[in-house]
Amino acid sequence: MSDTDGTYELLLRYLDDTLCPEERARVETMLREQAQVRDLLREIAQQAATIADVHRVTDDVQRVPHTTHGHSTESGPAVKWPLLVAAIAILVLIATQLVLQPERDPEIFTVNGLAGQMKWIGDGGQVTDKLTAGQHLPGGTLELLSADAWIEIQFLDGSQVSLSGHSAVTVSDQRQKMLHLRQGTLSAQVEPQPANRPLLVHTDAADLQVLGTQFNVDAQAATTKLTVNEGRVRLTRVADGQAIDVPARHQVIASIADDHGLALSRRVEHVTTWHSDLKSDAVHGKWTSNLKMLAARLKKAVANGNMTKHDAIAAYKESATLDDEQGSIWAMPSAVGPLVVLSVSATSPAPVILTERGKFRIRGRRHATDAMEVGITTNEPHGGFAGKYSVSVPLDALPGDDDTFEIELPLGMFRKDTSLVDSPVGKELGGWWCVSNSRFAKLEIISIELVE
Amino acid sequence: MHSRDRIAAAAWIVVRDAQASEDIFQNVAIKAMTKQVRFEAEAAVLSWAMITARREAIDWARRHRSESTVLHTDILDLLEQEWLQASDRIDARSEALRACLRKLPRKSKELLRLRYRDGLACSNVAEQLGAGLDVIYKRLSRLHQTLKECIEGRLADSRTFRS
Repeated sequence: MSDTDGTYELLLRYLDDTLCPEERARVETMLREQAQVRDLLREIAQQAATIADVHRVTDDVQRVPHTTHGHSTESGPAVKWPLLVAAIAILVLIATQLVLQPERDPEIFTVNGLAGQMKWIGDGGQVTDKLTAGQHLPGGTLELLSADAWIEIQFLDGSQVSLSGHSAVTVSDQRQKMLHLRQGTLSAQVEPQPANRPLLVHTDAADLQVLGTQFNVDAQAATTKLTVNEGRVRLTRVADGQAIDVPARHQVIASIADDHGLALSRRVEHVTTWHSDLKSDAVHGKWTSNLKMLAARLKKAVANGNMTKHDAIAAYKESATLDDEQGSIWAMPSAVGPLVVLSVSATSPAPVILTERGKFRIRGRRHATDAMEVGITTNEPHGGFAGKYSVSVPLDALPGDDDTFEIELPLGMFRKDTSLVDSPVGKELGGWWCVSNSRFAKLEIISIELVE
Repeated sequence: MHSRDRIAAAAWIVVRDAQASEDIFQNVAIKAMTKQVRFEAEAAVLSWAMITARREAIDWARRHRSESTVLHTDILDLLEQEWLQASDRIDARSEALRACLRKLPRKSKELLRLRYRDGLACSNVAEQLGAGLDVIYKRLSRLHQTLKECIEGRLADSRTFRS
């Protein structure tokens, strides 16, 4: 069997979801790093879709009644006319786009401010990555592509919505404002809405109805956390339709998997220190247990002839424990380079307020010689997005290859990208990220603490 | 029709279900017509269609499959970029693939039909054909490779013919 056959087989098993977690991770690494493996995956998909279509058309042709023979051979459903209509529709669309100039969609909001990489996909299909403050836009989808990205938009009635970090939201306002938050962190200051047309926010885990209030939403793949600072928001859990009214200074977490009652909790007094639970807080990056990393190192040592298989197994058994919750998080590729993003607000029960004495203590390993940038997302203590702050960590602050580093970054070093004087002190910590300056660098974070 | 193959393939890579990817393609096409979309170039139509198909596919996958089986966003981004960059080549490949499929032996066609038209998992295909699971994976792998070589052969022939 050739190497290509072997890779095809691995990809087919990956697509069938029959690989163990380690093998899945290996395939995903190959897909990220090897263009030829991605070529093979695209080849499989292209062949699969075309094969299905060829057989479908053949089946449909065979099912058409043979009227010239005076009887029908039809044994299945009728010919799939929507398929033909759809195919023709795409062809007609492509052929006529340059000629037809339908009217523009109405503009529904204005960009108040923004920073970082993002793109806008209009409902009409326009795609642009060149947004500017003061720009008026119609309905569509905003995608923020980097951890340091943020945007504030304002509807015609003055309601403001901020989005920050890796986020995507679809915005519409056809007599009723609607936000579909696919992922990320959204903060909104909503002007009073008509009673029969509340502002709606949809996430994968929850639907929110807002008549006028200030609230923050943090949507991850399966969980949505709603924090209401002023007014009242009705949250309905998508999984079972259970609803709850969330009053001011309260929060609730809705999960796709949870079928217990929705638990309303009062926002507790703030804290000024924080220790990340890397596994739970990870928004971008790959968490790996210490035991798994030990297994990888032992395998490498055996492969390099530095250790016998017997000794490696003995070493692994000696270190193995039932508690495999200790580990570190590895930076994963992103539009701006290898990146780790942690959500503070998604898991911390109490608001984390940044003080003058605060400093981040970061332990990690750097597996290449590149500087990195560390940043934080902040919110106003009483709600609303407050800005992104970051600091560059020069190369000489980090040790050499494969060495563990520990650095302390006082909050006084963090600056807003648009200001040399503004500091995050007094703000609430919403998220933390670090990104390497080289897309080929490998970065491993072992622990993150905010200490005083 | 070739745009159809590409959009359906982009959806299939997420949903891995022929009927679902076909439905998603139809939804995208109908959305394009009913929304009176306006583009400045053909490439923008395809880009919009691919993005829309991917969104619908992820929504479908989240409703019907375990979250962990959906490809990571960064991998989908890479695949999508490369798909759009190679758009001309993909159209020619699609046409060549249809011709190559016609040449396959009956048994091979039957295997591909069960897996990709009927959407059976390989374990079910193995049961249906009375073969071992490993054998099915190996036969499918070789078939994909054979089709790839056939496509590339036809494309090379057509280039030679044109020059």
